[in-house]
Amino acid sequence: MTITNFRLEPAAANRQRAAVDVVYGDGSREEIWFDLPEELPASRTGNPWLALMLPLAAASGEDLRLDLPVDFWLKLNAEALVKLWTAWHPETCRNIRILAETTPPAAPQPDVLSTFTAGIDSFFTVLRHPECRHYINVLGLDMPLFKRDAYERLTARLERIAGQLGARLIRMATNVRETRWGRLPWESYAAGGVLSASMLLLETRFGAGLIPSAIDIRVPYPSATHPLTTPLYSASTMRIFYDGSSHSRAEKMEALAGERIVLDNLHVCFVGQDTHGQDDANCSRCGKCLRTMLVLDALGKLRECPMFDLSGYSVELAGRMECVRPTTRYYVQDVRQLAERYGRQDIVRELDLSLRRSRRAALLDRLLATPFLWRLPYYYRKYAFRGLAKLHRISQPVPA
Amino acid sequence: MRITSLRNEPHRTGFQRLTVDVEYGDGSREQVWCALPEDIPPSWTGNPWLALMLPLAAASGEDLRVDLPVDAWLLHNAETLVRLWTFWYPELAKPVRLFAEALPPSVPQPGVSCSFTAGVDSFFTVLRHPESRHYINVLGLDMPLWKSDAHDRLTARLEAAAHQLGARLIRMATNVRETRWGKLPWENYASGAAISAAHLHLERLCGAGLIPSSCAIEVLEAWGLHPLSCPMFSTSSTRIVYDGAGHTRAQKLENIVENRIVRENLHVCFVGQDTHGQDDANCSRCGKCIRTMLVLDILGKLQDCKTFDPSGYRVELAGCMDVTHPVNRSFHDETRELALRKGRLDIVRQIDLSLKRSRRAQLLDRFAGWPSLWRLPYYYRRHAFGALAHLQRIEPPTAASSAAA
Repeated sequence: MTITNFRLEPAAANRQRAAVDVVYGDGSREEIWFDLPEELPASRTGNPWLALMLPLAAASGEDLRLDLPVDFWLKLNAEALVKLWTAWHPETCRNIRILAETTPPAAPQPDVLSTFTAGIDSFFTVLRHPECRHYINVLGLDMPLFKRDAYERLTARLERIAGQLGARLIRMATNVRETRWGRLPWESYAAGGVLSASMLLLETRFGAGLIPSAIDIRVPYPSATHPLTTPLYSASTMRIFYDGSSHSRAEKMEALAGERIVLDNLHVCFVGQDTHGQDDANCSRCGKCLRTMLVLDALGKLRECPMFDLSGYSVELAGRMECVRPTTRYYVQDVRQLAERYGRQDIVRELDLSLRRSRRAALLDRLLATPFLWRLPYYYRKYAFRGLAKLHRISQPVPA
Repeated sequence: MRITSLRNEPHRTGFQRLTVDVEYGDGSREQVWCALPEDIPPSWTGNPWLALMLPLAAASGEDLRVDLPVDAWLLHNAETLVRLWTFWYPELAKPVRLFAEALPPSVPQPGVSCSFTAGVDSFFTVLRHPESRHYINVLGLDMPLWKSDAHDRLTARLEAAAHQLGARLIRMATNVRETRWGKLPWENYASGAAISAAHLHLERLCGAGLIPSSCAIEVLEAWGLHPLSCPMFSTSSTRIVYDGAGHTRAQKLENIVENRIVRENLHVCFVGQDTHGQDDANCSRCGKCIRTMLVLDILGKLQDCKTFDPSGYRVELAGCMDVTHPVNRSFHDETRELALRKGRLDIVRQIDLSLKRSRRAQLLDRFAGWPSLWRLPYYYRRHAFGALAHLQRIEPPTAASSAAA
């Protein structure tokens, strides 16, 4: 895989586009781009592109060649990342070589930026880092590119929040999830690469990038943003931090519960109201919304959050949450712990029920490959988790 | 626990000594100091002291109060570290609160420091980081304070090696392992803190401190120097980098063994010739020495390494190594992989034997708490691993002679 033909072009309305061509081993070629405000100096090194394409290169087993110089430290880190991925995902990742000219280590700039979505993790990070005066939000990652209108509404709100916190929101956009890259598992593997790439694109202006932690440091299983992997996207010119992993998600919400600005603007959903990806509202029906509502309920703050629609909410929904995957189970246990601390036995009971049902579902999953019996896990799931999130999928818009 | 009264006192010629008082919850008090060359601008923040004392605070369950300002990012990181330790060592570490005035984030200095012991890991790191021009070696960590003569000999050699690589060796010393702190488990818990603290003492000179990795990145077992914990000792102005975790120890040695400076100076032993802690030579008998000699043997370079004594070495010793601990097992696995790659089936066979014996020993360990049966794992170990390292322990020096040293 070769990353070549870097160009920086003017784009619509005071914006610029940093783009490269990616030539794959099978001879095919794609353009990948990032849009950003024209007044910000975009990196002209290979650093953001190396961070971005590394997961795809490792997954496809193709050596990664860059026609741009990359930071020497980032190259060393990238090699360590590949090594870790091959241990974490032995079925999908292979050892590859990174072929690029390296630049000697250089001193980072003093300014700090953070990704910002107005979710629990990002609010926690920006509120405890007042020195961070620039927030970035990238259209095309959590929110699909075709939802431009929703993005305008969302970023207008994020801009207002940033203003209240004395910071500036930097709107960015990328098409990377609409390319071959988009087929990579987002949550468990590739998200860290693109978030770090967005930050490294601004390395000439910022010396540190904060990525709000999605899991706490005790979680031992692989995840796309992880305290072990995220800092490995650092270059000598820019440190990438996995911030806030000292707190679980429920503990973060507990710490934020007294902040009016958080309660007024909290936005956690990435399913979206049409179920085709994040928009500017919480669907209030998906697992993530429900978990957050349960925490807010346990903290006695749910009614103070105008961003959630309470009409369909009941504590009993907690018992219908499926938490077979380790990450989801970890989140559910986290909520349970908080509910117990706050004496909400009704929530604890329902979460115990969900954990029990999920254990059973996981056991039944062993039958998935057995003729006839494969129906058992399917029907058990339908019975056990039926109450939650009957999302009416709306047809996707046509590409045009 | 409270860290207070930072002062800079004269030490031996050419050195300054930064000392703090540590007041414990039980009312007792100790002095902890760190000596460094007098031309190095010393840190006046609480950063190195917070990093150093954090594992003791977590182990004793005492809140940690620092009477010096501490970098705001380090305070956040320290919270994360305590969280990690309470998870890794639920029996040992407790959640504690940290109290210190927070310093706003600041801009890093351009220098890069690196811990340097002339071992496999540190040679690998300094050779691939030519931008690191400050190597540090701390008497009182691997090498006990009373071995200052051996330290002088060792650092003279390290200084020559550093000079050949275009760098300067910064000699440091600390008494921390002679205080209450010294009772903490070193290898699998506290070492990261002490080494990071040494780097943070140079924060006015260096914006990055490289800690050569001792375990590979995919090894998730709790360990003192770990890719997850070491970077957590970073401040806004000094990043602590756990370097080289993408390579196994055997791969590192394979990478550096062609270098003459490495072959002439390689020093891996922390047992020491008298078995009471590192000195300036490899004992060539302990597990770590044998592992290294095996890899050198596989690479055909053992006879070229003047710092090892091959007279007692034979391949069969590999079969007598106890690798019950997962980290030791991973070292053994990587040596086996290299031996297989290089066609040294005699070594592969012995390593397989050692792995088999260690699995058996681990099974028998279940009896360790049973009356009468507790002898089983003990005798099995004696039988299986008996051939290795009959180290003749020499009496440690008396307190008086240690004070004189």
